[in-house]
Amino acid sequence: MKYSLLILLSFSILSGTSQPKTEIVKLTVPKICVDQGNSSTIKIGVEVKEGYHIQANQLDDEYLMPTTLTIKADTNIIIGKQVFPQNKKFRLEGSDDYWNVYDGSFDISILFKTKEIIQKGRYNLAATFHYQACDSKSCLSPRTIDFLLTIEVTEQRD
Amino acid sequence: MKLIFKSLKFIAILSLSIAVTASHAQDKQPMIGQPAPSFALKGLDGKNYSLTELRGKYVVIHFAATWCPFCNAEAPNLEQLYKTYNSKGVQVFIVDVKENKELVAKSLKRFNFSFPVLLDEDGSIATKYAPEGLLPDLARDEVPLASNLIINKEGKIMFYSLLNTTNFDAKLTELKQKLDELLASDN
Repeated sequence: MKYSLLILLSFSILSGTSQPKTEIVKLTVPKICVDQGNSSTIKIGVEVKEGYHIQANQLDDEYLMPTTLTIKADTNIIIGKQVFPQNKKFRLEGSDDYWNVYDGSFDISILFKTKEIIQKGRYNLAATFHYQACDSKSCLSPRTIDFLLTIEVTEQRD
Repeated sequence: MKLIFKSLKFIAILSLSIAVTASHAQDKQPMIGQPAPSFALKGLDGKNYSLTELRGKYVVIHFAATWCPFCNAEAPNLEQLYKTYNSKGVQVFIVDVKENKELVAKSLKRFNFSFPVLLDEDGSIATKYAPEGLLPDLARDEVPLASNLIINKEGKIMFYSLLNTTNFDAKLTELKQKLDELLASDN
């Protein structure tokens, strides 16, 4: 893969729609370089506050709130498959139920591709990270982190 | 003189011990003995329910949300509790916090509750039941989620299993013990 184009991903939290009182999740986004017409992977780092877990992306109970990441695609930037980590099993003391959760630090990988016809410049993709956290004794309302993926596309070189 | 000193020492130790025990009990069970905040809420069944109308009955309240795994784990046991205790003068309610009627109805259908599910759509009732100073990092309407309360016939809180201060008890063992204790004291 040629990295003659620089796609700069910048990350800025705009607002939390559910007014989190305490920061349970921190997101980090690395800088990524990719050519016009090429594909690459964005790895968004997720750090869950110690003592807490968040529901996994794939849940056995349809009524629980899965962790999701949505990115609004641009016409010339195709957002592909998202790869979440393997979940852990959490069993609450006093209950027979097991839940699929994430805790600690992990990455979500997102495949994306720019079309060859994409113009150089900066592209802001609106993204949303949605999660519902619990610790061993209490659960918090679902929270949303809205942020921008700012992608800067420069001219393709051979 | 020595006897007086020994007596004072004993009283001091006893007082300290009582204070520590009381403090610990308060930590475990907030708002005990306090009048339960009043509410008038609409149920999923479309009826209006008011706490003051339930004077003379024991009332069990469970604060819940459809996304709350703790609440869902307790749900079948709440139904069982209702079936066991309703004939003994105990009314059970779920107060669903900050969700709309359609979502709650759809989600709770699987539990087939025989007792009323009330809708606290703006979270104002949950906020009233958030013990002051506890869980300051949480939004106040989040604090009572998954908790169970017993309100006595006079409208006072007799049991409050706030999850932050007590172990999760999906089978409602402690709540049932307390209910049995209260019912027995009436006889």
